[in-house]
Amino acid sequence: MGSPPLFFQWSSKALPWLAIISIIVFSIGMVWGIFYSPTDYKQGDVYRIIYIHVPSAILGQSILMFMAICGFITVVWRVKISGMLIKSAASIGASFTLIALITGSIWGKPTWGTWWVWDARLTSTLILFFIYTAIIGLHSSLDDKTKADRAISILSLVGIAIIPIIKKSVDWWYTLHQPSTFTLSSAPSMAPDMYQPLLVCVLGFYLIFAFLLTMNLRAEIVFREKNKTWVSKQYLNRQKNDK
Amino acid sequence: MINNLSAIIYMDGNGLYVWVCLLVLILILGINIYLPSRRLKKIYKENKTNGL
Repeated sequence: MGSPPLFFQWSSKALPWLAIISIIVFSIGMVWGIFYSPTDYKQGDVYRIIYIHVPSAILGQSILMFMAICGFITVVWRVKISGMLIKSAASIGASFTLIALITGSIWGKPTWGTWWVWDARLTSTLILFFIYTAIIGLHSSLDDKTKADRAISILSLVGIAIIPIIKKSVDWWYTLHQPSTFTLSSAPSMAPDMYQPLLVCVLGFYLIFAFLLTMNLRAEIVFREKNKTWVSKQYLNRQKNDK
Repeated sequence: MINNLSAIIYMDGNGLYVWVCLLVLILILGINIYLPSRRLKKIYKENKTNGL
């Protein structure tokens, strides 16, 4: 799977299935959370934003960790596809972080009375978004893609330092933000009726990430290897035949 | 559980916040699906123009 032609061949078959599964799981989670979960006794129905906000925030952080792992592989073993993976994942990570920031801001208005406060959790998440934009900007500013891959690998490895700060920000500083919804050390504070759809939403978001990453990576592979024979044979000629 | 359509849309005055969030999610995910497809189409067109 580490070679671009092999991945391209495999992903051509897997992509439609991945799309179907991710749409089904995502829709089940959304419908269950927004229409069928009980109303919160304190916040009312506005708490339903949790089914969009929390999975997006989790993905925003997970994607940077994924990129750092790929970055380590790129720096140590110089595997070509892992550099492409970082580049392809960066825009998706930025998108999920942006969704978390926007939905958090919208949720903040009716619950805190303000769209934005410069508290630790919000500010550290904004820094995470800037890290993603820095990675995207750095990669596009370098013409040599091998050098660009190595540069964003290092930036991902350095940038990962923000993750424990985001995670612990609600414990280390006084903040308006509620404590983490998901913790490994304690049972969830939410009722199971509310918690179960949230788990399905998180799974749906991970599957959507896998689908988007596969799409982005395929485009990146074709872009970088467009002059190679296998691309003409496998992709470009097939497109001609389809038409 | 929310029972009727108007209650689903209105959500005790909070509907606007929830629906706007859902719209933002769909919009950003839509852009993420559109951009790689457009990139692939562009490469194919370039290739066709170059006669490869």
